[in-house]
Amino acid sequence: MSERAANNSHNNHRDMIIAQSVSKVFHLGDQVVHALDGVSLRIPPGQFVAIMGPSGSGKSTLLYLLGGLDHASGGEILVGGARLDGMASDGLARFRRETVGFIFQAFHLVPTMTALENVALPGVFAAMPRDVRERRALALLNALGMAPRIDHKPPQLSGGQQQRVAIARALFNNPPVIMADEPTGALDSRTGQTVMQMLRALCTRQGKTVVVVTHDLGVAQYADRMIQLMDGRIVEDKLVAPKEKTDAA
Amino acid sequence: MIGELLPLALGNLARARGRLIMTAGGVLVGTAAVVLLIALTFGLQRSAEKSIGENASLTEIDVYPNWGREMNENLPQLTVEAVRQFWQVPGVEVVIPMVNLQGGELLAGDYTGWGNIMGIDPALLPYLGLELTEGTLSLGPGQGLLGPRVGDNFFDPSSEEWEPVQVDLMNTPFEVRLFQYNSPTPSERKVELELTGTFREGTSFDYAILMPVRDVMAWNEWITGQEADPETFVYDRVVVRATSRETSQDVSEAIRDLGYATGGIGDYLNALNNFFATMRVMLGGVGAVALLVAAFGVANTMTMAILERTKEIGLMKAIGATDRDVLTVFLIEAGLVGLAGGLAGVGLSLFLQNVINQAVQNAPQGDSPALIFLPFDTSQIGGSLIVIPAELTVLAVVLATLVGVGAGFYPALRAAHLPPVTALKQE
Ligand SMILES: Nc1ncnc2c1ncn2[C@@H]1O[C@H](COP(=O)(O)OP(=O)(O)O)[C@@H](O)[C@H]1O
Ligand SMILES: [Mg+2]
Repeated sequence: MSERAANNSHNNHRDMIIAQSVSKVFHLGDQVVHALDGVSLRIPPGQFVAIMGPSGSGKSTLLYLLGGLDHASGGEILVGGARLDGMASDGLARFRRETVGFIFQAFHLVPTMTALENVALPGVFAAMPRDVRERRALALLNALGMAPRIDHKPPQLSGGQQQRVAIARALFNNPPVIMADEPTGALDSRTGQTVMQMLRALCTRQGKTVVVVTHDLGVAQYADRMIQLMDGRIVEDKLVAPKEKTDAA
Repeated sequence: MIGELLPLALGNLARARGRLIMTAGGVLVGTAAVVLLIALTFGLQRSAEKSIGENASLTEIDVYPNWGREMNENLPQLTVEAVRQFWQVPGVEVVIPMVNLQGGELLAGDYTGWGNIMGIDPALLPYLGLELTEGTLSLGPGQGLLGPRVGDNFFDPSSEEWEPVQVDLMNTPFEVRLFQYNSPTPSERKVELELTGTFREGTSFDYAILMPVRDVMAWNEWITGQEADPETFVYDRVVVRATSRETSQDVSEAIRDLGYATGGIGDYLNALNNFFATMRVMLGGVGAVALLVAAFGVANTMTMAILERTKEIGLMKAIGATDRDVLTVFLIEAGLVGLAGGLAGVGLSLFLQNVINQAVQNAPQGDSPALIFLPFDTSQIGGSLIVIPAELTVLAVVLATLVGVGAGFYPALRAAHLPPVTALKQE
């Protein structure tokens, strides 16, 4: 019932993310791993989706495919109206630059760059002039309460602070979609909650489409919708009750 | 775009400083080897040219009938018409035809000697590039200019032994004795010759006495008993001077195309230049081997940097870097390593240039046995055994940078084509 609700509620909108019978096969020697096996889903703009499931169920693989970081073995993927399967590498680079902001469990900040430079890095590849870049990075860090730390390098920052820098970086090109792979996985639970509240606010206040991969049910409570993966297939897809959501937030 | 990526590449370079300094050090050694070895050939070439003679004689081309070819009635001769043709060859500054005295003996006081008496148009005298050590450069009727070695070839006719005697001709009464060989009644005649000056040694006229061509022709007419016929008359020697060293080779060729043989210091110099060009290629090749080794160093360092920074490459791609951006970043890094090594290598070369040239200058004369294989007088080297032209420094820096970029190309290409997800998942 709730599954149908998830799909029906946005029938009238043009969906931000559409996956149709997506599969991903890895070859390890003569062993074949079906990481994803016929996954179909539609995510309307402005929805906060948590992808859940046990370790090895294919969550990250799905997220990377939706984010244009990897090629699917089969099926179709449309994000923001762009067809990702079969897109050439320059097109994918442009798609990643304009449409998606990524957040990783391991933050993936450049250790030799300051917080400000890390946030401004996407602007380098967008050929944005330095002063424009840095002004924008400063505003983003400021909004996330990181103003006093702009000149710190990642090793001088706590995990929570590093993840905020990473969020600011993901927002740099103002993409409509934010994708996060276990964004709280390396954080203590209180810091993790702060990060999730930030992502929630991005969805609620700025209308971003947010897709978060997690295996933590507590984290998933911030979402509008939970998709459960198991062995590369969707086994459950449901809307999160508003009450549950408020409690967690 | 490169402007935006450059600071990124610079920041990356600052990370693995030790390793990069080592790598650039390899390029430094390679560049210095190339520069110094090539500079050595320039230094040797310059001193070789110096030892050959003054610049004036380098544009001088001797023209002969082409005797080497099979005997032929129509073999082009050095006729009046030929001289007129030579004047029309592009790049010719002047054509100096000369006539030899057909037979004669030099008399200086009690001594007798031989020397080549050559007639020349006095107006063309300045074009021979002669410098005087004594007297004035002028040729009037009955006057002669003395080659510096003529005085070495005298002997005492009354002595039993033939013993060469050196005579100071400028300060000894001087005459020429002419013989009439062909006449049925052989007769001889002495004419006085006033020597107006002696010119410096080192030209092709060291053993010659130059005289006005009218005098020599008049004497020849007396000797042979025949009047010169402008139709059949041939000169004994024709010197063609090119407008510059650069044109002299073309002029030589044009004259050979007319059917004559050419010679002279310019031709010898061309052979010498070819010798040094070959030497330059060989020694440059030896230096290039050092640079090639350095290139492997760069490739290795870049490969390591890329392995270390795989995740970062994934990250760059995840936030929108294209393959080309990644390629550019790594090529800039490799190029900068090459550039740094190249600049340092040129700096080291310039430093060693001073050190080596000082050492050579201070070394006792004739104490450089390593150089005796060279086909010229090595004492001319003086303080410039190593000569680094400005173009060579620029070329070396460019070459080192290209070596860096070239060596970094394959690793950078691999980095550029790394799938972002593979790069991000690396542990
Ligand atoms: N690069 C890869 N090569 C081979 N197998 C892989 C690769 N990436 C993921 N897999 C396999 O695909 C499956 C799904 O992986 P993943 O999406 O990372 O799971 P999750 O993120 O849910 O833990 C796992 O069985 C994993 O071993
Ligand atoms: Mg995962």
